[in-house]
Formats: sequence, C-alpha cells, structure tokens
Amino acid sequence: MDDFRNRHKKMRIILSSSFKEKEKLKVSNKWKDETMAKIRGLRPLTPVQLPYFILEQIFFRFTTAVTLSLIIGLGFLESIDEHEAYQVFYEEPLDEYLNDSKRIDI
Amino acid sequence: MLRKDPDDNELIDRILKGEVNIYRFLLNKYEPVVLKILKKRLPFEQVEEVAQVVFIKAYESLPSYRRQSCFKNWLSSIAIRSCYDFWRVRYKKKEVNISSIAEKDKEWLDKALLEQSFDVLTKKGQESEAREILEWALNKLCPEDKTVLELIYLEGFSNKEASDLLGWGIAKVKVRSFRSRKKLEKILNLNY
Repeated sequence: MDDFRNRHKKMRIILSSSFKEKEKLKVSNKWKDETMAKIRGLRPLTPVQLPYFILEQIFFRFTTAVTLSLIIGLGFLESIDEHEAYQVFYEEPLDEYLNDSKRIDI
Repeated sequence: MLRKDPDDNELIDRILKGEVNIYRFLLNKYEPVVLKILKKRLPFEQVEEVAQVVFIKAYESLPSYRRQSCFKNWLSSIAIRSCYDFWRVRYKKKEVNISSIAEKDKEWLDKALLEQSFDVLTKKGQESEAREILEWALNKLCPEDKTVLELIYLEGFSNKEASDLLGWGIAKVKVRSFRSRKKLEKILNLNY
C-alpha cells in the first residue's frame, strides 16, 4: 500500500512539474494586434438591460402607434355601431315595432 | 488620458462607453495570465488562436461582468472554459491522438519512479519524456476528466475553486476529480 502511495506521489510530482514546464514556451505578440483589429470590427457593446427596463422601453416606443390604432379602432367601431343601428331602423322602422308591441298581452 | 496604473473597473467603464481602444490596456495587463493557462493546456500551435478567442469572448461579455469577483479570476475562468471547449470539439471530431506510449518512455517512467529524492523528480518532470507521457495520458481522458484533473491534480486547486472556475456544481467536480484520478492510475498502470 505504501509502495503504491509512494509511486503515486512521485508520479504526481513528475506530471505536475511537466505540466508547469509548458508555461515557459514563448509566444509571439502578433496575435494581440489581430485580436484588437477583430475587436474594433465588432459592433459597439450595449449594456445588459434589466427586464423591466426593456418592458418600459417597449411601452414608450409603441405608445404613439398604440394610441393611433386605438383612436382609429374606436372610430371604426363607432361607425359600425352607427351603421348597424341605421340598418336595424331602416329594415325594421320604429312604427312597425310599436305596432307589433300592441299585440303583446300584458 | 489614463493614469499610470488605472483601475480595471475604470477601464471597463470607458470600454463600455465606446472607447474600444482602451481594451488594449486590459489585453496587455492580463495577457500573461491567459497565456499561462493556455500554454499548459493546449497544443502550442493553438495557443495564439485560442488566446484571441478568449479576449474576444471577454470583450463581448463585458456588459455582463458583475464585478463581484476580480477581473483576473473572471478572465481566467473564460480561458479555462475555452480550453475545455477546444478539447470538446477535438474529442467530438475524434482528432485526439491516443497512440500508444513509446517503449522508451515507459522505461524512463519506471526508472524515474525509483528515484528517492523528490528534487530529482521535479527535474525529471522537465525532461521531454515526462512531457510525452503527460500528453499521452491526458489525451486518453475525456475533456471533462482532463480539465478537472489538470486543475485539481496537476495544479492543486481546491474543489471549490475548480467549481467556480468551471461554473460546474461542486458535486460534479468532486465526482469527476475522483474518476479522473482513477482513470489516470489505470492509464499509467500505477496499480501494480
């Protein structure tokens, strides 16, 4: 058991030293210029936005559009109502309705 | 104008405001940290390419940098995860060379393990045979095991530190660490 532990410890020292040794390899500086060139080519950074902030922005962005569509929609609904009321009165005049109502026994 | 030794947070604020060229200061300052991580973990010819990836990833992630940990740790974490991604892609493509260990390296290892002095062992680790054995053994492991083994077994990080750097749960790191050590023992035939 001790022999196994000893071998294991020795192996760890050898491998760790070898792993650390790789740090000493030299790398040129060209990659730094290339990295900066690529970064300059990227679109500007935008700060991370919180959900409520995004919602608020969406709300303000679409306020005009929503108000306009509400006005148009309501106007349209009103004209439909008027048209329907006109149709009802035209097809079934009030006099006839009143005449019919006379037949109703209370 | 920048002060002689500007604070990282000050630099980051200016980068976020659109002064992209300020990033060069961070790149110069933390280049040794990143290269140290990459050189140990990657094939030498890949180091420059992955270093670019690391700094570009860090730049793109700057808006989400929370400043709870120092910039060095945050960048180290990106570098380690990039190495892990590199090996994962290679492993998937089956580009990892797992040829058998050379007979001369095996003999060298047996002799080295008979050494009594630990100082000699450290020097032995700097020999080319040791490097070949290390590469060969690490290439036999899957990317997860390899990454955890490098952090904990070879560099001496704690489970908690490894967990923070990798963004994995501590239980996963513990299990991986145990398994990878067992696998390494088997690969290097240490159980005889």
